[in-house]
Amino acid sequence: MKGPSRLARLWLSAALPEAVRDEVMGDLHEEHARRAPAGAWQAELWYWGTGAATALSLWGHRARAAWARGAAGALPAKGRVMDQVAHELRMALRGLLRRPAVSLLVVVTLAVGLAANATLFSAFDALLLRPMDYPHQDRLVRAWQRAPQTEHFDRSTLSPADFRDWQQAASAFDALVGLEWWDVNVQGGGLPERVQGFLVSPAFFDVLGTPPVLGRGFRPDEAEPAKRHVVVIGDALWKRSFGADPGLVGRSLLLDGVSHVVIGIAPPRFLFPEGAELWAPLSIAADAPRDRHYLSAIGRLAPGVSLEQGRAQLAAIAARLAQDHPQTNAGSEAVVVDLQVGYEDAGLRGVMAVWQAAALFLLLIACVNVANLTLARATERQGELAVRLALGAARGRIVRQLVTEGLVAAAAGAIVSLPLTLLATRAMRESMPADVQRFVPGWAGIDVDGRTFAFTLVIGGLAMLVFSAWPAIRASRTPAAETLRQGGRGASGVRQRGRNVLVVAEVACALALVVGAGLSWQTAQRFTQGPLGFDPDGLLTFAVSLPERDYVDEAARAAFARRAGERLGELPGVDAVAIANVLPSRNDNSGRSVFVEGGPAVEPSRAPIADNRVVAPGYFAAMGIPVVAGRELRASDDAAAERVAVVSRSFAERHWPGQEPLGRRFRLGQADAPVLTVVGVCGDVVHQWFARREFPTVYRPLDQAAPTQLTFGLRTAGAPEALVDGARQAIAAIDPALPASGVKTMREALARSTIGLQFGAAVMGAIALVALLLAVSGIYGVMAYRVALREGEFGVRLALGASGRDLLGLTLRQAAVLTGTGVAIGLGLSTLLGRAMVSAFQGAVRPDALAFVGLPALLFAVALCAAWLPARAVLAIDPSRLLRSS
Amino acid sequence: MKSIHLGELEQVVLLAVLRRDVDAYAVPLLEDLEAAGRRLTRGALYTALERLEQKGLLQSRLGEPLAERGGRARRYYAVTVAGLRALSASRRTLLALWDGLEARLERP
Repeated sequence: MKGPSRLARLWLSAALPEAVRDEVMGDLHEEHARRAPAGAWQAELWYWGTGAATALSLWGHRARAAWARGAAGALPAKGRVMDQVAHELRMALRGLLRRPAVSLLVVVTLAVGLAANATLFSAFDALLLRPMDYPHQDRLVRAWQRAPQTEHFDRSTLSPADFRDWQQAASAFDALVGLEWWDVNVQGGGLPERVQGFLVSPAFFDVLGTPPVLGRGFRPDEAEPAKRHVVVIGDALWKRSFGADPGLVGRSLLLDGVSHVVIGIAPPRFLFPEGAELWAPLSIAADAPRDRHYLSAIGRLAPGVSLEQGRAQLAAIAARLAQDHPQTNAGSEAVVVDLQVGYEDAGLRGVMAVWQAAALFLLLIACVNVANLTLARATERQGELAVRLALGAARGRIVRQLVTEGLVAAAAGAIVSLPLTLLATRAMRESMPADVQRFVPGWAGIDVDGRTFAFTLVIGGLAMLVFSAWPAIRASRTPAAETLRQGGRGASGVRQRGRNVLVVAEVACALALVVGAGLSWQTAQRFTQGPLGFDPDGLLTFAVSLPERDYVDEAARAAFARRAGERLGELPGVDAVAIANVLPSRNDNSGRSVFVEGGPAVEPSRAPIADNRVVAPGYFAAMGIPVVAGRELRASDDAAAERVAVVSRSFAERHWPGQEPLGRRFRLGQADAPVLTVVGVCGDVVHQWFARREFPTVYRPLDQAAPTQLTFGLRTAGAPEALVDGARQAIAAIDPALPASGVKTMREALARSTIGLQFGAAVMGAIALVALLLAVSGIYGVMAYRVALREGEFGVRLALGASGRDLLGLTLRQAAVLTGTGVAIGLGLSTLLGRAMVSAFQGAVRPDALAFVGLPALLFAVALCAAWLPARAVLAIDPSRLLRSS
Repeated sequence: MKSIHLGELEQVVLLAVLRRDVDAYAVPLLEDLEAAGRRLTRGALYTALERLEQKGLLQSRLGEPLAERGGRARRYYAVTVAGLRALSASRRTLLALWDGLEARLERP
């Protein structure tokens, strides 16, 4: 029987008074076990809830008893240290319980601030600090080439020939492993399925130190072409398609129609690299090319070899290859980095830093509220403190008492924050679709653990120490005589200034967060709602891969595309069918060098790049991409006809600026490839938001270059989801071995491709909302307190003829000055944050007027409302009563 | 010996322990009290048990550690002689005060 979660038990054992801990925990455990069969989740919730209620009630009883005792006698007579501490804690608890509403506000505020920080910390920890956890992690590296051949990437994949040379010469490494992207159609389980895998050098599983849990990894000889038809299956795939059948090892599967023997099952959650679920041996032929780059490389340094030494050796090898093969390798260098850094998402670090910074701002606001409380309490007790100081009490003792109150509140806040953190991390983990999660190493590891717990305690404790010690020390410094002269009531100017600074800080932090959230939201909106260059509504998309074994040549592939186009076009509800090698928003790797006829002579390695699209007739109309000059591609542009192309406007402008592009000729891929004639110019599309916006693109007729990967777009006036079954059946009717993969509407695909941004916007939004609430409650508290404090003064003013309205105006003016100052400083902070975000989101964030005028105005208005509510109390002041009482 | 006046909560908790005889630990006690129409929070029960033990009206012993309790032992309670004396004193007082008033309950 599985009991309550470890975290729940850990938390509860910390929360319960020691005397009854074993008894209560045992009882709750027992009842949890009784409830668990009816629902594990409910039982867990019950455990948290009942545990918290019981702990609170037990402490409440104790505090009341302590209060009763404490009221009777003051200090324990001869205080041993522990007695002293217990006494101090008792006094603190009494102090907090005396104003339960305010104390609760502080605890909740702090808990929310801490939970936000802890949640983001656990994400930070899982995604950046420890996304990978392999044995010998510190010796694992990723290697690239920095190659001038490629225009856009300073980290280039390797050619197989280069990799083989690296592998043979790199003695500083236990092994270098080559990785080649490998998408295959898997048959043998349920439906045929498109699965993403990698071809890997046989040492792959050894280098990472994660052998398959069932069966075995690859043997060195399995890189030989004759023996390479073996495969290791990912855990999720094994469970999903093969019912976790252990008998699968030893059986054969058809991968792209080729029989492979399953030799092993990878451990659960092993998805390296990039979410792979299948691994087969990579075999490099003796005549492997040096001019085609498609291998990634990872390696494990030999024991005792430093990263620097490994780097130096590969650099030397790369330099030698550059000398030996100047044609292909001139200028090539080796780049070697830590494996984790190598697989880190480029944008992730910046985004996470922005989030963590936002969470720290939030905590700052929470702490400011706490400091406010301490100041308020100190002011309230100024009279008492002054008397005690005058009577000779040690200043340190008074400070200690105020600080202890802060620490007790911090401890309570930290305890309350843990279940909040647990819920928030769970929500964060599960809000990301599984098929996206796979690609983010470490995502599934976002969880609350001992590190999160320690982090929370440390920052919570530090924050409270600073934010309650500072006001406490200030409070104790006020000259006692002065306070006593003022009747123990007056708030000195110094004290007020301290509180004003806090309000200003609070508003400033909140504004920065709100603006940050606004920018994130706008960015996400622009990506999903902005113009794309094609019509994304009413479009169902999916992909079909044609195995080269069954579809040997272009004619066979083109024939398949034609038949698929006909069948899909006949489906009821389908208005048009778009067929291309790659539809917008899908991942691709289709950059090709461009050689323009009559253009400047370029070295092949430095030729400009264009995206290569191969499309069926009717593509532009079906996608809603405008053809702005010349003509569309037609069915008559077949294999026998002249080789033609439609180019995007950006392509035309790049290669023939200010000139007529129609009729121009160029070659694609290699300098000696067939010549293509431009017959039309079309509008630009946003292919991918980050890397491929308005990128020069070439569209060629499918009949003249039929690809093995086909993507389909079905245009309909109705709901695209309704076409899913029909589309699957139509493809199966042509070839039952082919799965339609990645079936989703274009809107879904777009949302998916920008999910990181939307997620970022949601996180920032949540942080900003909490910040706003905390700031507003802070302002409310300060104003309420201030009005209460000046009641006497207001009474006198009223008696002297001022109207309630005047006083309300006076109060609001002060609030406006404070808020206004906060907004001004906040704008400065926002500008900094905006700048950080522009760089974190790689230029996708564009600060604008709404963010920098609208949101501050909104915040200002909300803050004034928060001030107005308590300020109204001045209207209710009855001067005669007040004057009588003084 | 100074007589102890029992509060209502103390009284019902003592009675519940007395009725249970062998397996008087918090979980069934809470159920019994609820079945008898006296709802109280867990924290209140633990506090009452603790206080009654401090006053010497209850005594407790630990059972064997049990797997179903996450390896923790049950704390069984039993009413002490002092507890019995206090209960019976309370009962006497209550009965004396109730004497002759039963009819009044019929017509509230």
